[in-house]
Amino acid sequence: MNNHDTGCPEQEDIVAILRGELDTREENLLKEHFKTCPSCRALADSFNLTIKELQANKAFPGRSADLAGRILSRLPPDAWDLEGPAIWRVNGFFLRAAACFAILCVSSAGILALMQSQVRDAAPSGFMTQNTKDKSSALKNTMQWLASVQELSGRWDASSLGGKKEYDMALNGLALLTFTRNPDARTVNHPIIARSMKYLTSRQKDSGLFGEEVEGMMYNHGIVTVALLETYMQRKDPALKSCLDKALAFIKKQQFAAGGWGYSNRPEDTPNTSVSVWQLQALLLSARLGWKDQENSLRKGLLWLNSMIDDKGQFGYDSPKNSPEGKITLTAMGALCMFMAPEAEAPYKKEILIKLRQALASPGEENNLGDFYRSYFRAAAFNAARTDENNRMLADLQHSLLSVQNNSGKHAGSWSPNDRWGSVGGRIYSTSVAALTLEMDSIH
Amino acid sequence: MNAGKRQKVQKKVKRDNPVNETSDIPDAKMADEAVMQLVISGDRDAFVALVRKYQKSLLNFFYRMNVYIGDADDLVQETFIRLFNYRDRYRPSARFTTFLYLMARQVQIDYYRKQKRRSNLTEALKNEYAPEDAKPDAGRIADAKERTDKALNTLSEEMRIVVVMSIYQDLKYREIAEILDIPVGTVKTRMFHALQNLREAMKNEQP
Repeated sequence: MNNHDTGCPEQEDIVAILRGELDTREENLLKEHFKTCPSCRALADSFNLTIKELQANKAFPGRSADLAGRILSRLPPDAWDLEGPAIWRVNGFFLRAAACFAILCVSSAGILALMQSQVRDAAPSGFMTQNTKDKSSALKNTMQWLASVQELSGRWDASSLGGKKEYDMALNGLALLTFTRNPDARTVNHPIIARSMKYLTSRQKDSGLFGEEVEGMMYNHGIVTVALLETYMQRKDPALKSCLDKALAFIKKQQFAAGGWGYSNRPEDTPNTSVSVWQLQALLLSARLGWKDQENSLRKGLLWLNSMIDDKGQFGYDSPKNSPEGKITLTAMGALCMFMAPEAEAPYKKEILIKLRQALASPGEENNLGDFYRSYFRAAAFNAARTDENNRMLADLQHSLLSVQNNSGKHAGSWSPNDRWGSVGGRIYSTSVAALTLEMDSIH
Repeated sequence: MNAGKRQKVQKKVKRDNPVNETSDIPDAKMADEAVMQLVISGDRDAFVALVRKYQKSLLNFFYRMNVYIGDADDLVQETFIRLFNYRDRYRPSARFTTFLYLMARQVQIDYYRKQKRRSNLTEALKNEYAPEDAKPDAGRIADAKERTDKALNTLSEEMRIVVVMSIYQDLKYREIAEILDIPVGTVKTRMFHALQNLREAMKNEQP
């Protein structure tokens, strides 16, 4: 290791000693040499300074997200089943399991078909034509993106993607809904749905409330209850039913005497359309799924909702006249619930539905800001209202959404949260709500 | 590997290595090589533990190797997917980090190939999408950081990777040699010349 002309070590070794790459004997020899050779010592000091300056900026300057969930979702579903799929063909147990699975799928499909027939006619011809292929591919990308950002616990950390923390549960509920309503994800054992269900039910309080007692708790609770009811429709899980029993009881308990629901049901709170619509959707869905003891609550809620309609067929926020954020979304939300209710049992006159159809078709001007939430509820209301005209509007809405989906980069498949509510819900909101709008022709 | 054999491997590895009894996730004290054996035996939690332990180092590795910061996440994911796909090729006698960075190096080479049309990823583009604290106007620390980044950019790729692996990833010369498939002496020489160049480049960038 010596330079024979000067007796000094090779300069490469001076760097190596600084990196701890020499063995003890070589290191000792060099250290001895440094004591008597100022030029080698100066060289070592100068290299050491360079190394230290490089090391001073060693840390990665950006944020690093936990990538485990995304990586696992990119592995094949049977990645950890090391026996391999061949055993499925010969093992009787797996054959029996597959048979049970098929029966469950058929049962779920039957329920879905039954419920679809109650709400709307079969999809009209011409509706699922031009953009069906685009929609299917866009939704596939969306599911992949959502799966990639789900944590192993089943949670979507909505706040890390721009959502407000207090609405974390609601945003998780919306993300779960995109899976339960996606035809490709409607399998009993879909891992994303299973994980999300596990996470959401683990967040239920003894009172039945999903999540914490925060300002917008009924928003969170209503959306999660709807999402889990749709999950229950597919899985028929007794443990989930028990959670839903408590959740529905909580909704009934939080209902104001007037019939609506507020954000938190505190004394100073008042019922409003925006929150009430989610509780009503939960009650309507539960009634269809066979829950028996909320007819009174549902009837009272629908009557209250009816009382929010003005003379033009538009809904107000907490009175027919008051709508600080505009009436288009509220009208679509209210109309959705009123069209969802079975006509024979609806506690209001049938004429009101004609008025609502007219109001939906001529929403008037509001603002030009994008609004995924408004688009979703308008699409849902059009769908529930069952007219060719409304279905054409639904197709237009879906076409617009397809044109603004992110197609590249790490958020490919998602929608940017750049609408009116993006700063509240972040990317989980914008993506889930846009996807729910695209999935509309398969909504029950 | 059948389930019985898998359980045996898991038991043996866990017996030979200290683990946290309250968790299925391998303890940080367990050697990476042992955790990798669990991955090979089909232990998903072991795989997650390795991802969580090394994801940030890999992110830093790709960033230092001039990968566009918006793509670095994807490359980290790709590295672990390859690690999983090639898990059967891992031999416990080899250091885990050697195997991991071998995968990372392949991912990086593939990335460079794909990026050939924008091969000289400009500093401007990098800065445009860099995190706030990585931008040059973030004060004195950013000045020093900018200086080292610029100096690193003056190195050839073959010198740069040796510096990044040694100084930023703390890999030994022997490991670097194995990953890059070059003699240890070559690593030593490249490291020396790289530091010499960096010293000069940083001197020139002094305010």
